[in-house]
Amino acid sequence: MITLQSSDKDVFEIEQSILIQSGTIKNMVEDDFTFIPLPSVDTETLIKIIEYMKKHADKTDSKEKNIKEFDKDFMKKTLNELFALVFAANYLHISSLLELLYPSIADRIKDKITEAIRQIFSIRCDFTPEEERRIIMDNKWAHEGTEIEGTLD
Amino acid sequence: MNFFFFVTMQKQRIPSNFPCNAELEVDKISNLPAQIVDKILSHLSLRDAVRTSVLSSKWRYKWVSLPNLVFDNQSLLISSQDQTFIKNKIVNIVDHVLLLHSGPIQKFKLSHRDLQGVCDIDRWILFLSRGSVKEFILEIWKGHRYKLHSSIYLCQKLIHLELFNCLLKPPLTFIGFKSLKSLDLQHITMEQDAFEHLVSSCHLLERLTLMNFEGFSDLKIHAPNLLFFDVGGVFEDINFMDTFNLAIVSIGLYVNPGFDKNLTLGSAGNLVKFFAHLPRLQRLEVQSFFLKYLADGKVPGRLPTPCDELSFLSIRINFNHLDECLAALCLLRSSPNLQELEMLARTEEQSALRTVASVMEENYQNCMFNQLRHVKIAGISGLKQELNFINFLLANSPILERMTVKPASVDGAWDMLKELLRFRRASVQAEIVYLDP
Repeated sequence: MITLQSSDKDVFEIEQSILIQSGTIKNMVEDDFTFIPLPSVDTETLIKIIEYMKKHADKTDSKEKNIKEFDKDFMKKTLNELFALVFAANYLHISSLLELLYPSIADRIKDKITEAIRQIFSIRCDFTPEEERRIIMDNKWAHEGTEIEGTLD
Repeated sequence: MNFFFFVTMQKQRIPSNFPCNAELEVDKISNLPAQIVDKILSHLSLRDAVRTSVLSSKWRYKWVSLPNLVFDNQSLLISSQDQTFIKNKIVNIVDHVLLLHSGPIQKFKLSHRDLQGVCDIDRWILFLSRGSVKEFILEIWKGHRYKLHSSIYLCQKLIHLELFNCLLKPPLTFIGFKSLKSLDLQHITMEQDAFEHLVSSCHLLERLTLMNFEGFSDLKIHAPNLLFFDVGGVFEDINFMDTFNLAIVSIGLYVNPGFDKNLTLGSAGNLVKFFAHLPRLQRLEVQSFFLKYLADGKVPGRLPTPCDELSFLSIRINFNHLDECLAALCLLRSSPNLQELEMLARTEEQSALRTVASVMEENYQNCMFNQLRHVKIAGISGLKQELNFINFLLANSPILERMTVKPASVDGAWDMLKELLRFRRASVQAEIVYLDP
């Protein structure tokens, strides 16, 4: 059993076999660490990461459909949660989780007009209207279109 | 809630009823590491990715390090009927993107329905050959075969090459693609020597797809690492050399081979020759007229070495043709571990002229399918030969779960059903499901 400590100082005891899905943890275990502090991962996110790894630990064929359903539901989170997961999964080197997160975040950008994307991600536009016009002209072809559906999650 | 916004270049403004819906209080995305942003952007069409350049100054050039560039109908929205206009537009966009792009390009795909084989493509291939492109996909949907620019043959980092409607003429100095694992050639023209050399010089080749090819008719497959092979077209001969790992094969011969049976006495027929170098075969599809090709020459009762790993077999067969039936039987008798079988009838106009000689009783003896669970028979018309096969399968498959039978038409279906009812079944749980034609 390995003990993980979140940034909020909460501890979790988990079987080694489940945790080796994280490249980072795997390396530390190989160096004989049994207590692993994770100062960059808060409790809420760590709980979700552990939930993900537990589900993915058993990869027998019969569970495949089950796992796919779980993954779909698992991605139904707020952007805040998704980003927290991206930072954590990146630090912990859990590539299968990252591969799920990327398209989920991309979906929030897909087919949206610029201002909608800025709103959703709280991106502050620091262009003057003149600069913005020039950049649009520069990549004219990408900004041309007929109707673009703008949806807010 | 859905809003529809009409966006033109001049007026990109926020509609007045646009609620403020910042999900993130803090901008977390703009400061993500570049590789993560690349990964997120790579799930967007090129259009969407390029449009992020106007989000903020941080985003101006985030898209330019995208490793995968896909120019297709989705990313190049061009509404016009004028060929010249479309062509100029596509060329401008690709030139523009390539010029702004920075960093390695791993995947390049060009597949727009209005793009013909213009010489601008030469320039782009030359550009890519100077880098280390790993995946190159080119689909020319209109016009003549595009002759691939010679610099493609210098792309030694290629792992996947996919071409549609192209002409391949490698130079004499071509040494093969040393990293190539997957080759997909459809509607291509190439010379016999060039084809053989291409396949044999790509030592890491694992997947080969060949559809509708011209210029060569002798398929010599020299590929020790090949795992997957899918071919459909017109050819005269097929030979597997050293393909000892080949597991999945699908072959369709689109033209009816006219054989004269001039093979020398005693030489192995096509069937034996075909399986000689396929010891690890797991899935086989024999489509169109290929069974007729296999039936040419001497067909033994069983193959010299059984296909122990064959678990899935699908055969397109003309039940009127005695040789094909014998070939199919030989194949079945050599596949003791078969789990799933499909026999799809192929009817030809000349069938009435052929003598419908019966396969002898002894050909059906001594053959158990101890792993066979699912059988699908389709397109049949109630011929004796067809019913004999079904009877044979039912009697020798002790763990059969399901057999579906679908006749070609309603004619004779009832009589056929009456016969089917009588057949003895080795498996107590065998379901025979009749499907309407």
